[in-house]
Amino acid sequence: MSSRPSQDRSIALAEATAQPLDATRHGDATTEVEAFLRSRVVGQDAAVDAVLELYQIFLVGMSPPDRPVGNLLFLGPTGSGKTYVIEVLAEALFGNPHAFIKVDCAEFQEHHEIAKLIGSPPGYIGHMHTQPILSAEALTRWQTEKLKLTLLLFDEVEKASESLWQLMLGILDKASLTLGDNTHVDLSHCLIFMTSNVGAPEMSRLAEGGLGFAVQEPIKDANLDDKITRIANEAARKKFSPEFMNRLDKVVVFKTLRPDQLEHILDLELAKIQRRIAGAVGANHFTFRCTPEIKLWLLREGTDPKYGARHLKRVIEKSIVYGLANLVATSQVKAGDCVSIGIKADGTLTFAKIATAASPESVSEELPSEVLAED
Amino acid sequence: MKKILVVDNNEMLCRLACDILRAEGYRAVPASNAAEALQAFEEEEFDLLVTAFQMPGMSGLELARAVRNRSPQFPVIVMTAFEPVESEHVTLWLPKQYLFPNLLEKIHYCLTGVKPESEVIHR
Repeated sequence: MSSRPSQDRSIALAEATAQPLDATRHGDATTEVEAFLRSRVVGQDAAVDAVLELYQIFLVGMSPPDRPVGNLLFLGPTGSGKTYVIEVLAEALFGNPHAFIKVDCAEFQEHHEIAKLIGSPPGYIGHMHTQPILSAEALTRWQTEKLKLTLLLFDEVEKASESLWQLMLGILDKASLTLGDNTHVDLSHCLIFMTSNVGAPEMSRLAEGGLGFAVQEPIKDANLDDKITRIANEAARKKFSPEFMNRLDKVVVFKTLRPDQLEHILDLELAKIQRRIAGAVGANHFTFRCTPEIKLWLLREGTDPKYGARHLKRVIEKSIVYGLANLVATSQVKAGDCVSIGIKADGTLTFAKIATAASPESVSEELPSEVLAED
Repeated sequence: MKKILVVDNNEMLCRLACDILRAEGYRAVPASNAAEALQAFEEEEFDLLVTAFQMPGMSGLELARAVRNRSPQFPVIVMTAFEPVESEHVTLWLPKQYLFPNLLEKIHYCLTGVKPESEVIHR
């Protein structure tokens, strides 16, 4: 008892000289991934934050034992980037946007289709021939010496059959799965994502300003995202059982994308096309740039309130990439050239060479009169 | 995943075409001439050959003949900036001026038997 005052003094002194710590800071490895994610994912900071938090916990070895690294449910309108976030994370971690396992829940409607996931039991047709999607080999396929992490996506989880639900509940809770041949698979190194469109009709109605055949102006509502979040959460609670919801570490509702965010996405997609050309062709590639008019056209054709940016990639591929490939096929574009892509008033795309390898200084802001190809 | 060998001495086109095919979900392998293509056939199995017609050395038509000698029904698409010629070794001819998206339709036709919407096929 006599030492109490001196103990208190020591604690007070220690507190007075304590060095403040910042629990929100990320380690170097996480910071790199964060920079990559934030440069590629537009308007979905909550999703990026959720992913980074779980990744940081995994990196320092503090993920709960005998559970997956994390169980994340992504909700939100179609075309808002739910799967895209996982692709970007895969690219950041493994250098490949396809470096994750995708289970399309709609493909497992029948009880027997579960065999595709876990393999057929011995004695059944297909045993030894079907490679289970969730085999130990498949789960470690993208892992590296440095990063023993697997990204696993259950897409459109609301379409899962009862058998798949039971299987998923076991995985989400115990990170364990028994395959058809009775071997056990450990999923404790998996970061599990589930995406769902529950509440989509209500969300579309909000985003579009109503249902029906009449063309209506989208609602300009400052609280639109709050409303969509409420709808998504309510729909998820109605659709999914409490035992499922209780196994989730985070539920993220994706926001509807604003026009300026869609423009940003378009710029990112066009930059990606340029990188693709450079990657496919090598050092001797050509460059392209788009006029403001064609950018507006791409946004109009590739985005809408109902489907977000879902069709943007497709529209860019069909109009820009195919057009450029045709120019290369007909030797109108060579290495070092710069092509300007525009659009006429009647909607015809125009391609014009504004610089060549021999005259790089000829790049100008004005559109040249010479039109090389028309789509 | 269907595997396609794309052959063209225009390296930029060859690689760009492969990139587009990959984006469409195919496995595309580039080769810059017929000799390289035949070497690839020795080492791997393919579902379809897409080749340029005129190339230095062995032409696309000669390549098609060599491939068909080994595998008589093998599907071959020949891309050309010139008039197509009669050949039993070619499944489809495709004008280079209208390469995309026509090439994708023709590939789909060759691999599935489902006819493309627009008919610009020359046999």
